[in-house]
Amino acid sequence: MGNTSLLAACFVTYALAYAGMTALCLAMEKHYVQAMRGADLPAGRKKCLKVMGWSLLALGILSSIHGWNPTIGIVVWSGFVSVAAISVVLVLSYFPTQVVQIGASTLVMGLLSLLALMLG
Amino acid sequence: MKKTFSLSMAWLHTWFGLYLGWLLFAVFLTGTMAVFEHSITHWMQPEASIDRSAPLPSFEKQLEVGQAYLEQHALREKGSLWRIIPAGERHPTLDVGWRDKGKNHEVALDPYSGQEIDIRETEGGEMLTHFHYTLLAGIPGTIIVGLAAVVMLVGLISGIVIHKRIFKDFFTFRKQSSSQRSWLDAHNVAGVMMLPFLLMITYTGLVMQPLVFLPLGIKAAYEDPRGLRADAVQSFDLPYVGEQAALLNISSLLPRARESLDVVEWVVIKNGGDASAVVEFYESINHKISAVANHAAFNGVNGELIGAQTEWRDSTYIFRAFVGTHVAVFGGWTVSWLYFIGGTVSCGLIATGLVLFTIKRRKRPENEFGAASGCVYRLIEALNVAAVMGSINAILIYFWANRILPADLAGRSDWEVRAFLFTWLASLAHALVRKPLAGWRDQLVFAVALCWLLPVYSWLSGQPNLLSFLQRGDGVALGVESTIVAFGVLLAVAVPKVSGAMRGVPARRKG
Repeated sequence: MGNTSLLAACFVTYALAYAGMTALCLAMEKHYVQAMRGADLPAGRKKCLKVMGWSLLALGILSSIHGWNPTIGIVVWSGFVSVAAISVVLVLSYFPTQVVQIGASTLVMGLLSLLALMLG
Repeated sequence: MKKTFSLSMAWLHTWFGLYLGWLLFAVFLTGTMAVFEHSITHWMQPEASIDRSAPLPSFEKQLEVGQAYLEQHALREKGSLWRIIPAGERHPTLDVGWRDKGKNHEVALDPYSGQEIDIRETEGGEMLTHFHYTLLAGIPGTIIVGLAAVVMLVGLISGIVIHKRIFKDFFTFRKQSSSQRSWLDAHNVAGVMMLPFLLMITYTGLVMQPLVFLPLGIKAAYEDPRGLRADAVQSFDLPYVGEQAALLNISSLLPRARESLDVVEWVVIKNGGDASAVVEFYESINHKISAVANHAAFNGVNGELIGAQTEWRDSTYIFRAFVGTHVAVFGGWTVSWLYFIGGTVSCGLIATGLVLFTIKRRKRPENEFGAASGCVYRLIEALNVAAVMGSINAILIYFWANRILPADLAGRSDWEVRAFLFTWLASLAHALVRKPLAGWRDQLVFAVALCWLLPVYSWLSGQPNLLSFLQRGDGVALGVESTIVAFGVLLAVAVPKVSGAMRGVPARRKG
């Protein structure tokens, strides 16, 4: 694997894990309130966020298995999930109002890079 | 019953965590460094930092250079184990070595010119790895670290029990709350997020040392404990004959070695120069978790294939998978950095736990030690400083000693280790003299200065530094030194917080 595609694979795995963790975080009442300046979390949206969060994490496993191999991919993925979860905690406590924007833009960049990896 | 159970778990977590946390911090910190032990060793041998802008000579060419050097210099006797490790991405020099009276003799060669590099004597990153699992005290040290690891597992499990709100507080870090609350949140978040890593690293660390921790099972099955290894790793050695014979050109065997092996990383020559010489090629273990190195052996005189081992027993695969997940040789830089981050956060977990003990009691003394409580708390505060800041500074001083001590000083590597060990003593003495918070602040500032001034000192004293590593394209050494500087930034963030706490100002509140 070349250096560029290695970096891209790292970024995709991290970005998907980060976006997934952000979604799971927002699916919790108290953090949703924190991030949305006091707005209530509708039940439907909560479910939607949960599904999105778990699917992004799952997609992350697939992309890291694709980037490395099944065994190393899972180790790499679980490492990135831990690091992503810690980053979400830091963003949530230092920039609570930007959680959504940062999460969404990471998701978009992650998916675009994933696409680029699969095509290139 | 439940209340008693979680209270007893809390007691266990508090006291075992405190008494072994001091040791665990040092073990985790040196273990975190051990991820990059070879990079650190390379950085600690600045003479070996050569211009790498030109592409490396081929593997074959390097083998030829290594072989020529060994034939000229290495000892030719029974059991002389010649080794050639060509330079590569993570390995900046062409290393050759042989065994001399049971001791390994290592020489680094310039992979471009084949010239011997005169390297300062240092134990490098290996010293930190060695400390990580022996405390530099041999088997008794390993047993102590093992006990600490058991206590770590107890701490993790009791921590899960007393935390209770693992999922509810999964993302909770209330930095604006009281200092005790924020420290507890940080401790919990670090513990929960890193739980898979922590359980894995502690468990595999214990399982890795069966000869020390589970000797009886092996004794029951094998008369000679070496039999265990012989059962796992096939030996293709030939009996020593004691007749001189010319060694064939090793690199000519490479195409045939590659028929059974994937990526050849290094070569061992047994009984070099003798008619019984065996040339053994080893495969890189970079791409698999189970750290078993497939190998292929050839007769060193006539070039016949003696045998190759690419299949292993299931038990060997499993055991080496435990070892592999612990030492993380697989997965290249990505996995190394993930382990490094994981280790750093784990150190943070232990440090916050230690700090919590004292913060809780500073606020509301529990007088667990009767009339002596005040004094004992004071001692605990000092030991906390020495365990956390002492460990950090000890490693930094070790790095400094490497740059300050004259390159040709006799017994130089011992002095480096002494500087490393004495820093702890100095740190403890300082922490006992100063008030607790002042002790933390002083040693933090000292550590920041050590991190940031190291490149400056190297530059002023005319030694390789950030700039020259960059110019030479020596990414490994550059990475080590910039990580040290970056760590200074991380530590510097803590300085104003401690100073704030000294003035009795609570952490800045927002809104």
